[in-house]
Amino acid sequence: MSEMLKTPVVSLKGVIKKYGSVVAVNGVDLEVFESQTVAIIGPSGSGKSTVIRTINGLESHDGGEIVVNGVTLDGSKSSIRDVRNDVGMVFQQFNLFPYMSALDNITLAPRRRQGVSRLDAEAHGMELLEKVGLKGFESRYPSELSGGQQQRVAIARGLATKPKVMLFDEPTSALDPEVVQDVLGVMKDLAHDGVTMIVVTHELTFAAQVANSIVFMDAGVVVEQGDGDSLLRNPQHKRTIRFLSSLNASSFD
Amino acid sequence: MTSVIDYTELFLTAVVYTIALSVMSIIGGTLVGVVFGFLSARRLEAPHWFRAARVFIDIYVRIFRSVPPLVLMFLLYFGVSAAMNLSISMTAAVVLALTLFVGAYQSENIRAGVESVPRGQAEASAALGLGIFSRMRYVEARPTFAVALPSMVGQWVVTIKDTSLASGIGVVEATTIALTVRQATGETWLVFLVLGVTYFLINRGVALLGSVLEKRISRSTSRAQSRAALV
Repeated sequence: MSEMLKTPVVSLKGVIKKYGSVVAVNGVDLEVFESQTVAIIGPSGSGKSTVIRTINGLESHDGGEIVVNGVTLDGSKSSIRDVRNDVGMVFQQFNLFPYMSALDNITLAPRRRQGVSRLDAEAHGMELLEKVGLKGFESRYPSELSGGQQQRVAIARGLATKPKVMLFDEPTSALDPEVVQDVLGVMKDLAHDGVTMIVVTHELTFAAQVANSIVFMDAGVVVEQGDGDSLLRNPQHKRTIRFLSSLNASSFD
Repeated sequence: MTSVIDYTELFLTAVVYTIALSVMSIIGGTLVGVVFGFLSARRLEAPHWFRAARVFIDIYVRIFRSVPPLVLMFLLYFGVSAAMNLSISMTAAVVLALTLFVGAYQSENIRAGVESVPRGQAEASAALGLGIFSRMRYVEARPTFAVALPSMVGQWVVTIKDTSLASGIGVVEATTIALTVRQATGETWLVFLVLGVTYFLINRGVALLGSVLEKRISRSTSRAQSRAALV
């Protein structure tokens, strides 16, 4: 793959995260190249959410090295600020700002952090709303939107700062089943547009169809990594097989 | 003995003075509360110097919530001038005492409001790279005031009532004049009834103002929620 010749957008080497005596992440390596989509799967408590939260400094790491777009996260404020400039994030619980309209949620960071003018930020915001299928919803407040709509606004908000990589932390886990596909559809479009994404998810069908690479984590380590076909249809490791069968993995054919 | 009616103008002037003391003390107490409350709130990714400020603010809150405002007025008016050989005006002593006393309570009201903002809001702000002051202004301020405003208005009412303590150091405000009129006319019941009704009316006005503010501050979400309920 020609991508391999480039430097990765996100690179993790031996990343460790401890909570007291509990080791949540125990030496994780991960490389994500431009325009790649990487899915991280695994049982709850496996450390997969913790891993992506270390990438934008929401969790500090206790060991190893994290480099995002050439910036090494060394715990300093400036490194965290620089990295967050390049990373967008979507949360399980959406975390939209309830006192702001959808458009204001999207334009807040461009206007207040990046100094984009109101006019430009709103024009870009309207484009993003259209991209996530919510044209005409700009003046709605979060409480006037369904969960799926809120999450799509949250995706637009994450994209608004023009990040180099988007992190998704279980973006569909809090959604009603019938709107999950709306959100996954938007994410598929982003992948096709070449947005670099790291997605923690339980949606194996999505992972199989969209991800260039799937990472299976358990007990704080990467157990197995591969493309959709090899990892999901032909898992090598016992723990992977057990996890996939527990998720009824046969249903993603 | 003179008639109570003769003192109407003097009393009205004193009421105006009570209102002036109240407005200054309310503004002072609210400013102290907002600044200290936002600085001392425990929250995700607060700058290190906020933590240092919190230590200081915690001590301040403990001290000034535990000392009666009248004692603070005595301390500032008589104590400071005696100890430091500098004269402080009665008005300044009263306003400063009430500002510090009420500020301690307002600080706690605001702190509780900030700490009621869900953690996810702070995480989203952090992920978007917003600095702490942008976060305060755009993410925390409205939910904080929506939570804190009712208790803050309660403290405004307390402030107005506590200006009557200024009579203890002889400031010419409503209560002091009421005491004077009572002495001059011998009318006790009428004088204190008028005084009581005066405080009642001022405080009802403030409470009304407070509820208008509360409605304005929660308008967008409550509007949003009621519209959503209709759908």
